[in-house]
Amino acid sequence: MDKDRGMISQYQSITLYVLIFFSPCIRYIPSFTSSVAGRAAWMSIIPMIFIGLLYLYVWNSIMAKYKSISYLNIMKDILGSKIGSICGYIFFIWITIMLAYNVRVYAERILSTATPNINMILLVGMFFLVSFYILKSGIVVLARMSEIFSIIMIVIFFASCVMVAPNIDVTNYFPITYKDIFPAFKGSLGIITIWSYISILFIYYDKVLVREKFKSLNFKLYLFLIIISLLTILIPLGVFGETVLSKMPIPFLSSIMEISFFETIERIDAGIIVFWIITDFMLTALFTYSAMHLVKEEFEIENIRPLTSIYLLFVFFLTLIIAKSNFELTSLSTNILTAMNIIIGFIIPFAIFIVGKIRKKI
Amino acid sequence: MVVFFIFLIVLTIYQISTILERRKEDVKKSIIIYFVFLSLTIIVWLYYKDNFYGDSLSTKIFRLLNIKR
Repeated sequence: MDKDRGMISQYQSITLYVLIFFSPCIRYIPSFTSSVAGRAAWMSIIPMIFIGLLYLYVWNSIMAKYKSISYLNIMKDILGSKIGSICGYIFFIWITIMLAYNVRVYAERILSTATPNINMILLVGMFFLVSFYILKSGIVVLARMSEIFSIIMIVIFFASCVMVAPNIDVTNYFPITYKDIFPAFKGSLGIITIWSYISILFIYYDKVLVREKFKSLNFKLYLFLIIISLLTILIPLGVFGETVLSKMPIPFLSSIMEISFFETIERIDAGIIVFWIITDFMLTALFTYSAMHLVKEEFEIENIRPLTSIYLLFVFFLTLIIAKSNFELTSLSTNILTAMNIIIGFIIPFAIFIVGKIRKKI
Repeated sequence: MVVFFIFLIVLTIYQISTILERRKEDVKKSIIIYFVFLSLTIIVWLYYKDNFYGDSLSTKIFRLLNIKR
């Protein structure tokens, strides 16, 4: 841990991603895959195993060549200064939209599950205020927090899965036929969408100390993401079945509500939701940090802190106007944001890799 | 509305004074970026005020792109 230099380790960077992965993963992957692939939703993970390996190879190749260099500078080096800058602006807009969207989803989820009578402005405003306060200390504090919280979240996630297991009906996974192959491929798009957040990690990659063993760490992350993605589909699908699942706004949390110990201890979901807020908070803080880091790199400004407050104020109002209800948010996500995530978080890294290979930069 | 503008003015004065303490090369760029964000904030806030009971941003985007929900 090199606190004095304001750098974080590769492991901490990965724990940050693990933490921000949980929240969108449990919300989006089960409902999208089941609405597209039905009973074969759990098979969507099979194409993802191969696509993920390819994705891992691309990032490993980029990381091997560009150690501790920010994504913006990598893009500028490979694609050229102007196109690299344009990509930087695109990334900034993407992060801002995703930040507003994710905070709004968090607020809707809290209002519909835990606290229905709280004003949304208060809920969102508090969130941004805390993020602003934490961000004053920089990425090191966030990384240290993520080290602790990621372990707690992983334990809670797997414990929830084990406790829900008795409610799973295996018949909900079958029968599947050869006709499910194409829908399963289509369902994997939902998983790619959330995996594409990995790009965010590279925006502040100049703050990450890369050691020689980074490939094995990345491979462990890949295996972990495969397991988590599979479980987030298997658990709600097994409990509710495809028809109910595809219409649920928060399927994984709904399946946790089914937990019951000997019919005496029930409804432990309220306690678990509290921990889930941590992942939303980390996502907000990390996205804000990444957006600000992009501005810092793009305009070569030494200190970005005075701009964070006004940026967060802008995102606060964007969060309030982005949608009116959960229904609109789901539509926005399915119709626009999924494609946007895949293009920016998945296709652009591949394009950078191919151009880098052609220009012999990688 | 008045309260919000007073808040914005106070915030701007405070942040500009913080920016002015930084190194010279950063000051001009930081102030420009600050005012870009400030303008965006005011635009988004006015939209929020005007469309409180009206369409959200996503509804307008769906209509613009002719996406049926």
